[in-house]
Amino acid sequence: MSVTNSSRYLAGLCVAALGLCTGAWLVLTPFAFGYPDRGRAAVTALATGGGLAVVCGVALACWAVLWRRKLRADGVLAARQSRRSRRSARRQERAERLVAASRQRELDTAPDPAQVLTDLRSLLTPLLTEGGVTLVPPPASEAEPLPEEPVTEMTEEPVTEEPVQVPGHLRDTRSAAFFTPRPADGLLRGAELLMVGTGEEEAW
Amino acid sequence: MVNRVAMVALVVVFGAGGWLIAAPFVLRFQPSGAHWTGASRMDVLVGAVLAVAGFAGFFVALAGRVREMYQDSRR
Repeated sequence: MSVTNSSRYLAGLCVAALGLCTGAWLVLTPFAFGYPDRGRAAVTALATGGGLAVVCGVALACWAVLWRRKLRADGVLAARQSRRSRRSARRQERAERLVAASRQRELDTAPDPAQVLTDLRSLLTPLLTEGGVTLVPPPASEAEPLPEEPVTEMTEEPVTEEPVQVPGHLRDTRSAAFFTPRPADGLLRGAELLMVGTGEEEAW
Repeated sequence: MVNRVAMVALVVVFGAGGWLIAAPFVLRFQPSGAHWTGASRMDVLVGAVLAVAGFAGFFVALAGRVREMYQDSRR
């Protein structure tokens, strides 16, 4: 960036401003000095002054625009945000507001864990019974006490089919381990199912 | 485009100055050989100022533009 380059824009601005002032002065002179009405001198001054003022106004704007462009290109002025990027920024803000609002609403209307568990069980029961897997019985608080048989059944039967994906449950080692036969963790499995159903798997 | 308009406006300022100097004699509201009227004196004075300013401004702007072009070609 060179400072001397700005002399060009400064000269243009000065000449345009001088022309604007001179044009205004020429328009005023017939009235100020009492030129003969409709005389050639008055008409010349008015016409020339008016035209000069208009041209110099345009020139002033042009030189100002050019100088600002130059300053932006040199990094003196901050780059102006285009209309498109402003629009996208507004959209982004609106989307963030919507996401925040929906998050808040979700927290307000959190599902009842017992209801979710009941629904989940009713959905999973046909799937698991079709595949030869017995569903983990409901917790003791909701239904009759946990019988011993289903757990032993699962331990006896080798799981040969592909693992069943519980809705909302990620397919990873933990979810695979959920279906592997382990004799002593029937209650744990029930608890895990409860956590999956209530959406608190991460915390667990 | 804006650059050209700005440069042309400087030329117009110079032209307006020249016109204001010549107007009293071209339009004959200043008879030759007679004492100069106030209007003629004002027009010639203002025209001279405008012509000088327009001339100087145009060439300063042109020189600046040429310098910018040299700098751009060196990059």
